[in-house]
Amino acid sequence: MPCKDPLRKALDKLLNEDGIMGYQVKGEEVILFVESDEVARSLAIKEIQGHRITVRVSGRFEAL
Amino acid sequence: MDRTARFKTLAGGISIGSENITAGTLSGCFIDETDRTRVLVSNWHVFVGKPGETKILQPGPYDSGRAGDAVGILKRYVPVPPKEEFPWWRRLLCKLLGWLLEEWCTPSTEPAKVDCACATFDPVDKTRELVEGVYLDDGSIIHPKGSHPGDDIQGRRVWKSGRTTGVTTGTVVADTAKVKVWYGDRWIIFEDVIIVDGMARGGDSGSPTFLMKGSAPSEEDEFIGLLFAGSSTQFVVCKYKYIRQLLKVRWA
Repeated sequence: MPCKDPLRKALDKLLNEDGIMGYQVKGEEVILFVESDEVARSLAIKEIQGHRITVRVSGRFEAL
Repeated sequence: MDRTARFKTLAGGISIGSENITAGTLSGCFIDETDRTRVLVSNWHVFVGKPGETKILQPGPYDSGRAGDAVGILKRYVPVPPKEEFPWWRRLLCKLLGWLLEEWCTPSTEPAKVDCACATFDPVDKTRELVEGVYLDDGSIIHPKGSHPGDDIQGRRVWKSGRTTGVTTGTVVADTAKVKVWYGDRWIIFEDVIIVDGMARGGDSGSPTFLMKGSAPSEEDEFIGLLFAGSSTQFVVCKYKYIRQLLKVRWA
């Protein structure tokens, strides 16, 4: 099984938490998609594994 | 145009669904690369059922589709990976020592890449036809012939045609995202999907989505994938490159 890089490992762990809907890593940029403004405000982390995080409120993703 | 009606001419953007669900959107006419036949395509959760048995209705059951409205039979789908299930002894150990064995106690889930399925086109009413292309809001059908794998389109404008909200446009805010999607009874993780700032609602699942070349939908646009999920402000699209690779169909 291939080793996951620490950044993706940390983000996958975050994805298991309530209110975190997804993420994208592109170069140095990390976008975190969250369910609500409330979740965005409650997020204490501003960076992860040295990568600065941009938080976007996406709402809750559901099959349509 | 009422997209929930019964259509004599089937194209992308109208109500459809298996006999087991409410209603979603027909993505359109595709070519099955395994036998070169023309097939109907939508999401797996729209065509959900048993291959070779489940009827596909147009319109979908929620829009009053009945047995006489069957237009085909589910042919195949791309399975969504299940979350790893631990045996009882491992669940017990994790309950007691989960704080110590965090990684070992986290179920691994192979992320999905697509939510798609195809069905034969074999209508009960033989006067019904399946054509290439997609319905616009004025009832006309356009046929963007080109396709695009779905990569490297962040910041680009796209449009989709769906049963509930019709043609809507939006901007790609992520093109290699990993997301979790609620399927009513469980979360499913998807990777390498497209997130669009744009409007979609229940029943739009399966909407064919296109990369926009000009300021309005046109035949110069390129098919990039299928809408399968969304929130009140954004929708999620699985990429054409995986639909082609995993479902083995191509945009006609």
